[in-house]
Amino acid sequence: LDLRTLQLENLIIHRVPQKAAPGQPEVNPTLSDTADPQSDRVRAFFQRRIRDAIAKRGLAVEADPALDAGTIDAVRVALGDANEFAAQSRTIAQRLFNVQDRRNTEGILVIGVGVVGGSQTLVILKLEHEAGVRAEEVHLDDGSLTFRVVLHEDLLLTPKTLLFKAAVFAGDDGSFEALAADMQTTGGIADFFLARFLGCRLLENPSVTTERFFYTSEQWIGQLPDAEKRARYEIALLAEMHSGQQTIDPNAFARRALAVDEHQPYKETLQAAGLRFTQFPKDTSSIESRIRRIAYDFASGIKVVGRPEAMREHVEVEEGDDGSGSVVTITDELTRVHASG
Amino acid sequence: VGDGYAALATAYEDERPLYEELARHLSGLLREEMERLALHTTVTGRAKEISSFVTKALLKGYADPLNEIGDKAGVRVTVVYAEDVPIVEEAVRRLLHVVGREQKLDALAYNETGYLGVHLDTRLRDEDVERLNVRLKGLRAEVQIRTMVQSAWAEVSHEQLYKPAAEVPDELKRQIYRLVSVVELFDLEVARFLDEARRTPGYAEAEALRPLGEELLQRFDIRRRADRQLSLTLAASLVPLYGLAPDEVYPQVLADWISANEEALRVQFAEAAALALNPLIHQPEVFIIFERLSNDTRRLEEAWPERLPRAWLVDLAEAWGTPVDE
Repeated sequence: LDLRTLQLENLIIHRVPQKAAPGQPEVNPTLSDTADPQSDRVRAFFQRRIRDAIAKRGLAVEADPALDAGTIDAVRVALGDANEFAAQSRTIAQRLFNVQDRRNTEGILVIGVGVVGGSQTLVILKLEHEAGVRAEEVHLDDGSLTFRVVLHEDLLLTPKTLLFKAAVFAGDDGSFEALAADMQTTGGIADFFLARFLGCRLLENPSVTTERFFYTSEQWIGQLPDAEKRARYEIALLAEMHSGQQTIDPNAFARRALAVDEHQPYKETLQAAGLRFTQFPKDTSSIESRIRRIAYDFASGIKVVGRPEAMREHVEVEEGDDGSGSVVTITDELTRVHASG
Repeated sequence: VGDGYAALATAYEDERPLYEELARHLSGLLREEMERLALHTTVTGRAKEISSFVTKALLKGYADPLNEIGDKAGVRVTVVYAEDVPIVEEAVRRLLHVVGREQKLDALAYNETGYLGVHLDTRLRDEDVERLNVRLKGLRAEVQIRTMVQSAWAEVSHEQLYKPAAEVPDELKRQIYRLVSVVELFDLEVARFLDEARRTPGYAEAEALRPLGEELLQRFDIRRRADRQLSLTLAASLVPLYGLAPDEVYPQVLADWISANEEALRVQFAEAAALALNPLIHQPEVFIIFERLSNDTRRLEEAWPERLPRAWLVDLAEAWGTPVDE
């Protein structure tokens, strides 16, 4: 999905309140009766927010046949029939309210339809209410209710409005591609949003994505001509795998570990392997044994093996001045020498 | 004299269509070459008028005017900058057989002033004669190369010194000739300006922006005037990222890229018009920024000029869906 071509045509906004505390009067979402294209400014604002959220945290998702398809069905109907947009959006908003609990704060749910890359698209955004963007109730002449978005320009300049969650569906004839982003969690997409609300799952299991990321990165590192760099980058890659972070962000990794000139070739290598250059949940379960130790193999048959963190602290690899080979310096205390089979 | 005049006129009248053809061919040939060299020039051509030819023949006393007068076909190449004169001369030498050269400046003593253009006495190359018209073989044509200011002076002096029915007094002639030193000074000062300007950071790189300004206007109908200082600053920093000569950046990279990303760029311009946030969106270098965001993000970030707010880049990057470090 090339979201740079996203153009929203119609929007509808609903208010989804926080669930009432036990003993408090019941609350309900305030649902718009009518969609409204809003102004060019408002549509442009949401287009940019979606693009930014998906670029930073977007993950490819798909409908999970084992889950409630209420939202997915509503999306399909709305994509197929513009007249159904308002009604289906209310179904979607009501469903979000139903799956939320007290931990979810009040927000406004913006649902939009438009086009992206020549396909019909429907986007869902859950935003913080009250900050840079306010949804004001408007009663139309026929008595119907809608919300009109009011943007506070000073806050728009450095967008303060928190975007909590976003999802984009695009496709024709009932099938679609989908992306979702959760800006509130660091480890993927909150289950209530992805599974219970959208009825979706990640398109690729995180352990598979992690494994593909690791092997693709390792292959790319392996083809670098400079031995010192290969050693340094391999250690950085393993450190990334071992870190306590719940996610891997290839872009951040490349910024941290690689030389500036190598950022783009590395990015292109990952993209050629079908990996997005955005954050994804880390699951190293399928490569656990592979990342436990790092090994330097030499042409002579000598091998240096150790834990990545020990290698980083004690082993230094340099290119020999005369191009005759690599200089490996191990600064450590020799504790034992023994024959090995 | 009357008989001589009529005979010469008739003889030249018979030949003149050939000179018209020669002048037409040469001006087309040189115009095409000037375009290929991307030189800003004006090329005009003519066959000498019959009355001018006969007058010249009689007044200057040629023994064989039909063969001796070399400018029966004439082409004039007028350049903007004096530094382009040798480039044009080289092009003429490549395309034609040059049998004589006259630079009026060479004939002037250090304490004299006068017309400064270059005149080349030329003939078509044999292979071109075969291809065009064998009757053009051996015909001479004069190619004049001069700057716009030299041209202006030449026009005025010709009009005022040679055309009036009565002879102009010497004092009045001096007034016109004094002006030629201003012409010389003008071209020298312009050359000095160009020399200095080329040493200004971004000036050479800004060459890459010229077609981008046209893209903004013609393809995207964006009519806002670009900020020149901003362009120079950004061009100095960003154009070197391509590792190409500035005038190669558009044809080799950006022309195709803009076509391939036209829809996304249209969305960007429409969003920018609605939100009016970023001053860079109306600058020709915005294409470079978006293209580099797509294809070389990190080096673009590194190259971003310190004197420009990084928030401008961050904003464009977010809008383009390619986040950068804030």
